[in-house]
Amino acid sequence: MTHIVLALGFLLVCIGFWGLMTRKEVFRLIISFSLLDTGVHVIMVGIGYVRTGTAPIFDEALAVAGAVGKVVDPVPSALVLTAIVIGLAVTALMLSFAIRLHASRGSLAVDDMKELKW
Amino acid sequence: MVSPLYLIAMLLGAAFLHPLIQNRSKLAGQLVVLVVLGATVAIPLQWLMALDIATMQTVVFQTAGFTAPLSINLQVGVEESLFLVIINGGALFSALYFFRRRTREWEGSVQILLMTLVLGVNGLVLGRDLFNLFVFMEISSLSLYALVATTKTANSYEAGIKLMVAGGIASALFLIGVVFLYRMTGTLNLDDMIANKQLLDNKAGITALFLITASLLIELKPFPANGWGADVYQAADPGVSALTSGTSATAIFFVLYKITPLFGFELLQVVAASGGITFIFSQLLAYKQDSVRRMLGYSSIGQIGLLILVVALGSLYGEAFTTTMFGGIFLLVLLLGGNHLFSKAGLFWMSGITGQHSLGTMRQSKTVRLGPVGAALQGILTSALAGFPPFPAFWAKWIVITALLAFGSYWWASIILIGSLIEAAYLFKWFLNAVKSPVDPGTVHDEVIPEDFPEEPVKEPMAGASPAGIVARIARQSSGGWIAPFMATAVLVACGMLLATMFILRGRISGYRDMVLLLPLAVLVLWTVFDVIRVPFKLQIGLAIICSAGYGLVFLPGLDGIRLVFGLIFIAGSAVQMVPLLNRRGHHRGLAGMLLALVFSLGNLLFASSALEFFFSWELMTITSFFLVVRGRQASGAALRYLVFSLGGAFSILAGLFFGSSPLAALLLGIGFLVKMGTLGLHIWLPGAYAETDDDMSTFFSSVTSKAGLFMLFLLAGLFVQEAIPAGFAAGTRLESLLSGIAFTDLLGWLGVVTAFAGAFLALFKEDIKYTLAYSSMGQVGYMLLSFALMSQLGWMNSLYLAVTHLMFKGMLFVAISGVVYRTKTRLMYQMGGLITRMPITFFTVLIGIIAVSGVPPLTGFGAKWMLYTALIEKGWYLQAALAMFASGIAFLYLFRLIHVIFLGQLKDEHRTVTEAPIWMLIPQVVGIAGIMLYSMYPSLLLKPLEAAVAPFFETTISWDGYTVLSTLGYWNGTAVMYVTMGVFLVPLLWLLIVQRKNTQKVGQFNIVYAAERPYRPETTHFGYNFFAPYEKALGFLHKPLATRFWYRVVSVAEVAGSMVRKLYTGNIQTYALWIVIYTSILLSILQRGM
Repeated sequence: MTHIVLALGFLLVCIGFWGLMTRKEVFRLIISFSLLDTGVHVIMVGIGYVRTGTAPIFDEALAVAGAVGKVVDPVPSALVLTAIVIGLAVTALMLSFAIRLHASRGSLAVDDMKELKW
Repeated sequence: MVSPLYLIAMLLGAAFLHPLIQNRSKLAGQLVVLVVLGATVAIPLQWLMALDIATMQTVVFQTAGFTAPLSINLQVGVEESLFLVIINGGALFSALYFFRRRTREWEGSVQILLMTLVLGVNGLVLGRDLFNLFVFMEISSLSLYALVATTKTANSYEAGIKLMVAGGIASALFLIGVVFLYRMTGTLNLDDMIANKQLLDNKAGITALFLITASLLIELKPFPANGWGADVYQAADPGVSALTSGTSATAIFFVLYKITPLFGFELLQVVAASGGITFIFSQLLAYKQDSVRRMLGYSSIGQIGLLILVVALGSLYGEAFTTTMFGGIFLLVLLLGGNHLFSKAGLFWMSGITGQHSLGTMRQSKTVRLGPVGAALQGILTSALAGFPPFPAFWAKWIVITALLAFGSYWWASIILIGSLIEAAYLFKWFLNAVKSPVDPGTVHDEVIPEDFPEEPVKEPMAGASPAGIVARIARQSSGGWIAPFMATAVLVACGMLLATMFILRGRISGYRDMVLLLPLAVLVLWTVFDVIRVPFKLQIGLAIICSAGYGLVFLPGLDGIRLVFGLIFIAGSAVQMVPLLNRRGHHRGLAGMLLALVFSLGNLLFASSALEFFFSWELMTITSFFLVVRGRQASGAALRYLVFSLGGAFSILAGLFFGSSPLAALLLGIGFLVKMGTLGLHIWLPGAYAETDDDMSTFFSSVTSKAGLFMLFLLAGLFVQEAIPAGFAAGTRLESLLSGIAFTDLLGWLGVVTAFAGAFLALFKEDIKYTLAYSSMGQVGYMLLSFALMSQLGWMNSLYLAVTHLMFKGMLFVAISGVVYRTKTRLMYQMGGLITRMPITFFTVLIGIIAVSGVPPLTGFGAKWMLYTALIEKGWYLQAALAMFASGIAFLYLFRLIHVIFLGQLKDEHRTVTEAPIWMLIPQVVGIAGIMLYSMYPSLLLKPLEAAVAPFFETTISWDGYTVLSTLGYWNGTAVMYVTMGVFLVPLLWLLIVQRKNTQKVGQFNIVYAAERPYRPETTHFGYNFFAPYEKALGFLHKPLATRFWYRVVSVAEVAGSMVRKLYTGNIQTYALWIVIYTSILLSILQRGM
């Protein structure tokens, strides 16, 4: 199961990269970027998962002593939550830039972004 | 100790509350920002006072009642505190820049973003948890993305999107790396990870570390994955660029520095390679830029690359760095990082204040000329960035190069030096472009013969470029904001002074003598104060003369031998030649201080007791003399060439200092000294620098500073007697027998005589009188080098004798000529003539001067020639003697032209009312004449002290009989020669005056007339124009500027490389992303091969 999740994550990352490299419009780049980000998050969750582990909640079924071996590590999940929030902020900012860019230049085509170079 | 949490809470709270305050009062909002940012500087300073600096103490703060792995923990140590002081200080100055400058755009949002950015970078510096570092990195990045877009232009949005895509890829790599590291070590805490480093010592561990490292490197814009970075610098507001390059990049760099203890050998090598390649390529790219901001951007990228290189090399060669001094690598990083942060931010602010976008080629002058304050600020910031003393980067570079060479890492050392040279070249090109006068085309390296009919002035294509428009633009653009670069400059100067005191004194203050090396800096400060309180210029120069004399009286008596001879040349010679400056009217800000600092740095070469002290004085001499050359009306091109050659020479010396007494040391040091002397091949900076400097300043360069190289040759003479070709080279072949036994002195001898020949020959065909004298100086230095290379008593005596007498006669000639130029307002000889009646004293000086130079009896030059030929023949250098003889003949030709064309012949109509040169210019001439006459009449007065100075080095080959010198080949009695020559001269003169009196007829000036036709180029009818045309026809092939062409090739290779490389940066966002992927893959594959 972990392997499938990891593979899925890497697949998403690859799709994201592919989109980033081949799409010719800023909006699609942003979507690709979101895909890439999601892929990274899936990988993080996949790495933290322990087979046959249980949820890290202390109750009758799970005593504090010896819990480490039985539970799924909660830290990567916590990290993912933070990362998702940050990813959201970046995506939102990107979208707002795209809107402003379209408003001032009238185009979102990547090939029109050629003023700054060399 | 204040808890670092307050720092973060304060910034966060202020950022949240800001809109509320801003709504009530805009000013209150702005003041809150300044107060909060001020506190972010004050708190780390408080930590520094509480911490034990000697042991580099650190204190860890936990949060929320948990311990390290579970809590967010922040570490406060000496390193963190010092970095926060400079980083937050930079941010505070940035706020001041915005505050003073951009009332419209300095809105609430920008202020909030500035505070969140500072919050992020503070977290980056303090945090010890990898995931927190990620969060803080994102906070600072998001703030930065938004700040970039505050310009609200399409370009800034474009740059912002590019930045975000690159940043997004970097953070994806970082996240994956962090999770893998967590998986392997079970912790996110950096300290725990370092404690369990062995867990990462496998392929997976190194790869995970690599992902984090690659992410940080990408954030720091490595070559070639950095096109987006340059785009951001180009598009963003300079204030934001200053934050990007200073505050943000320095903090991310600190994260990299923090995690280096985790790195293994392979990873360190990869990081070092990436940093070094980024450094050198960014400099090449910056060199080719036209946009000022993009140029500064590449320079920033390069400097950060240098920091990365230094950290990685520091960890690789730990011992070499830590043994050199207290603080080890950290001190280096702090000096380089702080120096870069303040100087680069200052330059970005300057570019914003002047509104200068395009560098323009140096030819077309569409620049805004900086005023004195602006020029001073930009000059200081540029010098600091280029690593001149006393600024922090100078000391850092010294330590780096010392350590690298000590470790045998020659490649890295040369990359750093070459990159620094390129950087200095383009930075100073910009500086010169900003300060040069409007009439300066920026390309003057040789005499300019004006057209008969001046060309129609070309109309400026720019609309609104009328003088009124430009003035209005400057007024609008420079509406404040000066305080930020001023503060940055003040910090750099203060740190520089402090460091100079630390490094030079090293805790020993046994008496005033130890302070002598710091005198030039004290002079610069004091005379700047004089400028600020508007002390009259004449008073400043008067004080400078008194101070030079005082310096001579206090310090020179402690010297003897050769040092004393050069001490008198440097100090007494300069003091006398400062007198003509008293003739100047008005304010000349910085001139007197720079000049005195130059004189003192020259003098300090005599007192330097270690390689560092010597190099410190040498570089001070370079930079102060550069700022003097800059002042010439058309000197910017020549000044740039002078700077680049001097700095190249200085770097060659720096490298040479660490090769002991090997042939390589002799080669590197020799090149450095020969550049200063301007010997053939390395001379192409010389004519422009000597001639285009202000007329009353040229004399210093020609007669005083050129001797610095000669002095160092004397000091290290032992190096040059060894064989030039190391034993074993081309062993067993015929080449070996051919090359063996050639000592450096043989090469120097040939170089000297060829320089003497070339100098004289090039002087021959110049119409511009100052170029004639400049080339003449080059030739004279050639004779000194030739005599030095003889390595015999007579040779050395002659070399010193020439150095002293050249000071007198060339000083006299230059001062006399500056008087002529001052009165006639032209430097072209064919526009003069007949001045003997108008300027008789000057004529007499020039007459004495040229007799003394040319070596005809009875004046000092004759003695020099006598000793030279005697010594050459004793040594058996017959061919050199013949060539030297031939060169003297040529020298006589141009000297003859000098006096003939200027003072004899027809007086020009416009010069009919010319009067004698001002008294201040006559004083040094009279002193010179007196000296020349005294030493001509009684050569023993000079020769006996010189003999004593040389005595410890060679066995005696000459003897004395009264005033007569006896050598193995003959004798020379100066007094007798004088009497005989006087007789030979006076008898025909009296005969002409008395006996032939009746047969002479006075010819009126106008009893020769030209035909009615007006010639197209009137100068062609002047007998003085193209005076030696027949010789040029015969020998013109020797006249081709081969050396100049060679150096142009060198430059064009660098330019072509720069142009080719910059084609990588297509401006396409996807190309940039692809470069990031390629960069990461290449690093990874190198790393895996290493494993």
